[in-house]
Amino acid sequence: MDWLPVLLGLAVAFSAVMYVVMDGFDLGVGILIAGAPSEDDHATMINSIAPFWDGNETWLVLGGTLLIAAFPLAYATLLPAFYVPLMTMLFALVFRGIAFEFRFRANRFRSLWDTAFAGGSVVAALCQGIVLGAFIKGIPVSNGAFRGGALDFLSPFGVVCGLGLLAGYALLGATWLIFKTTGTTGRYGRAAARLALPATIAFIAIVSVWTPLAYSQIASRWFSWPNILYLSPVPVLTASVACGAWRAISGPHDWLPFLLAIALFLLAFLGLGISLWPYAVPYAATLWQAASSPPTLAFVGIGTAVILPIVIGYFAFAYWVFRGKTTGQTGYGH
Amino acid sequence: MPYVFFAFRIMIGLWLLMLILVVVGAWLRWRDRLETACCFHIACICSSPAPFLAVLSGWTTTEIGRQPYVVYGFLRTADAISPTPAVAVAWSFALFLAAYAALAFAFFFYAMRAVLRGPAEEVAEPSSVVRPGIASAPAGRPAE
Repeated sequence: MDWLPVLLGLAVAFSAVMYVVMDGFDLGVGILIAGAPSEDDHATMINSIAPFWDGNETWLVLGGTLLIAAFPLAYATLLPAFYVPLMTMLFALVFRGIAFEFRFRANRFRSLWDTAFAGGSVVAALCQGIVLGAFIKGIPVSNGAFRGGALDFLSPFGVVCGLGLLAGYALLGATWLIFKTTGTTGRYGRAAARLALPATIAFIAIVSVWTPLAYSQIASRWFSWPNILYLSPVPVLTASVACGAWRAISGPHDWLPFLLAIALFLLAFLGLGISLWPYAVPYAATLWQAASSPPTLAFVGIGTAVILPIVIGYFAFAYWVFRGKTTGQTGYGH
Repeated sequence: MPYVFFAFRIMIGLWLLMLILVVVGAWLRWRDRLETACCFHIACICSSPAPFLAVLSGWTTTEIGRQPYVVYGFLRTADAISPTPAVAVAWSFALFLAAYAALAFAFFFYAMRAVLRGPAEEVAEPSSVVRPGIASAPAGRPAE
């Protein structure tokens, strides 16, 4: 059963994409909150993500669970390697989540909780980008275990990826505001998107140039014949989506910039997948080497096939229930 | 091990205590004395830490009780240790203590404030409210 690890690898990648896109936009709103024009906009921004943000983090849990069940070797080597940034990210998410609840009960300390909310969003985004950078860079593995130091994750490339994801999440958050809010908040979303989009594209470009220069296998994956022919649509499509997004920010369709920002993320993710295929732990273990035994994979596969449609179903339902524009008047739904 | 011995008995003892409270509460309710039984109210207030203590001693029982195994009889704790550097774990543990202390403080601050303010004034129920299960004419129309 050679295709089972691939199928489950796709399930893990799907969870990661869903997490990045969905928690991405609500982290992005958190990143942008410090620049909100007024207290009303501030409230509107938080209300626009209030029904969704904690559900969006479901994908983080699902991805982690799938990873430990289907690819225990990847889980056992990657998590010790990324222990410090991942724990920092979790603490940032804790403070961000608590700030949601306490903000509405606070009077004197409201600005403190707002700082926790914005700071938590920024730190979580940076940490995720740093982890991505360290993942692309590869980790020292011997005898199926991580053999590095606690601070090995830090590198200039990781910092670039961290800032890149920060810009990308800000773009998702800004386009979400265009999509879901009106008036001054919507205008603020457009202004923020005009800054975040060029920044995101710049970081995508830097990573796209840096990785083939630094890793010969990534260079040969993209530039060897006939791969260059098959893969050329990816950068071409990315460039055209970026141009379309720039025009859509000023365009009449409020939903279009958000959709194109998601498309940009999907293309970046596809590019990453092409670069790193077929590794589960880059340059150390392939999907097949990292996979569980076939019976375990079959068990996990059946479970995933049942659970995934249910999760997608209730997500679709939640987004449908809270469709349309958010206003500042509705309180936090408790 | 004395830890397991006491943790288990504390958990079971608290369970019994909470069960007695539940039974007494049900009995008072049945006798229609629930709202006037002062001693019972004080006992309820005093018992509020009981579930937390019971959960903690339950965890202590399982975590210490299964040593030196992580998976009882199969995998020893010493063999299950990850290669995560000890410094990193110590750092995250310190962060855990600091973060949860700060959050517990914030929780008690807002919880205390809510308790001191007391419940909101009850709004008098309008008499014309249609109660479920009781037949009545639709609003604005005379009964037949």
